[in-house]
Amino acid sequence: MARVSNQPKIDTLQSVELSEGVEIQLRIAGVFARSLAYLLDLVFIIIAASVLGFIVGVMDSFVGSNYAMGLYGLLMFILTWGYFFLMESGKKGATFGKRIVGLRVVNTSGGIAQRGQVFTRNLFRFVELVIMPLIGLCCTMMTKRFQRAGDLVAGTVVVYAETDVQPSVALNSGREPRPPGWKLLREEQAAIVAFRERGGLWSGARQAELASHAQVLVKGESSEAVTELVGMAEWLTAKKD
Amino acid sequence: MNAREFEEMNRERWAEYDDLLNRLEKRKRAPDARELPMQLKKMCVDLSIARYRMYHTALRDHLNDQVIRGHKLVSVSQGAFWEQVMSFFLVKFPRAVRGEWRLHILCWLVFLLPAIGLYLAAESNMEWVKSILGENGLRNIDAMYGAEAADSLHNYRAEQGADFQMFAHYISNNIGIDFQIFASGILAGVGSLFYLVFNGLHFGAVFGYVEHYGNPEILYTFVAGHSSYELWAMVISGMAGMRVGVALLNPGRMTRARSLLEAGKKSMPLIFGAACMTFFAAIIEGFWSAEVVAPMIKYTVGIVGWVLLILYFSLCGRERFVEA
Repeated sequence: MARVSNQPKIDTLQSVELSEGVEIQLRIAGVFARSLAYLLDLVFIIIAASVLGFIVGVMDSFVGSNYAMGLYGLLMFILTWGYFFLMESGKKGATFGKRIVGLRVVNTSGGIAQRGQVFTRNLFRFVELVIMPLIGLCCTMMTKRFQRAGDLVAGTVVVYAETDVQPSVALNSGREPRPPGWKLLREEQAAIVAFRERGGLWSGARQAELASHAQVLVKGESSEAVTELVGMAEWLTAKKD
Repeated sequence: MNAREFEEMNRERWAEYDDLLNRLEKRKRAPDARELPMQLKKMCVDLSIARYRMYHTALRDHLNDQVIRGHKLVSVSQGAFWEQVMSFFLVKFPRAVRGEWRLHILCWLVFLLPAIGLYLAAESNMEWVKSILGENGLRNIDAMYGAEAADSLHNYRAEQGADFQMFAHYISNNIGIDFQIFASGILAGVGSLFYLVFNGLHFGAVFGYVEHYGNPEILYTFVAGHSSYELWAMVISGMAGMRVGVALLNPGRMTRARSLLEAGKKSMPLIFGAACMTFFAAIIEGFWSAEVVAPMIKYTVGIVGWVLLILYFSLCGRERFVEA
């Protein structure tokens, strides 16, 4: 079957094998996107707290200050401990901040996270992001799937909710198919095919630069190398017809 | 077969699948919902074929997304809600507490030893108590439980809505403390221990001080009713936090990440049960504990609470009581 090279990966795609026996690839969100979402959520919480304070302040004169104070206490409790939990266990699996940035919380196998998991990951938010924000930050950066401690304990990851389809234009084919000099790894084949699939939007210089990485494979320089690579891509895909 | 032929061949089935997903995701009626697992399997096969034959990226990404969507719908687990609630309180929670008996003893000791120590220290030397409670703390305690404060509690609670306000306060404060005790367990357990010791010291200091300088009957009649649920819930939160802390310190033969995940699963019922107990305690504390009732009745209710909890945690959910 397929041989896999040991090269370090250059993207944040995470392969997850499902019980159906197939692998899916999740796009894990990094520290920057998540921090941004968190800051947006903080802003939202502050706004919500002020609005609640105002409403309760108005109610004060109708129901009496003790009830109003009690109600405010309960609402603030729900807001501080429940906002993230309630939003993330909803259908979108995301708080307002995460929705704006385009993220959602899923379990490590890509399925919808259970309520318990969402609850756990958000309890630890208190220590990781409120008392000692550095812990959350460092833990997120140090783990392979960008998980903070709460994510590790709950078994969740934060992923991009939708794969954004990158516009890509294939390099114009019609070049002579040519076989590569020797048998390539599947991943190498895929890279060459992807080069043709996506090359159409790159400048000539960029095409040449990327083609130069395949120096062991192609003989020519710059634009010739590009032509050769596209030819190989032709050969690799044509072969399967 | 090239990519286009592959797409052509499967177009209809993919469209059907997409349509089914759309309806299910919007919670519309879908009489053909039982088709989903089969369809998903076929999509999985398509995805592996497309990957193996290295069809173009757009096709592979599309199939990847479609499989993820289907997987999300198929892997949702929803049991009967009330059944789950019942089995949680009757079986899962007490079993979880018994399962961690070492941590259970440890957390009780970590809470009780400082409390007893300070309570006893108050007899001979009040300096300890003063340093723990501080000027303001002492003044508050004098106001609530002092020798001349006989009726302040009842006077305040007689106000319209005061019970509700205190109920809300106990909810947010005490459940918040439970959550803090648990979450700070991630700091290798140190955080949970700190909160338990600190609460123990505070607890002992208040009792020691009121015993000697205040009116102990006000304090005891007030706390008796809810004491069992509240204190025990705090200790259980400590257990949950320590479970996570110990998992971090001593992962055994698992990786640390794996060990944390397992600890998370084990501590979930603990912290959830503790929060429910604290909620129950807040109801009693808010609406009943400050009522004017004969002290004997309050003490009896308190003792009954402790006995019930001891029976609950030692007997509930035992194999011989639970039918298979």
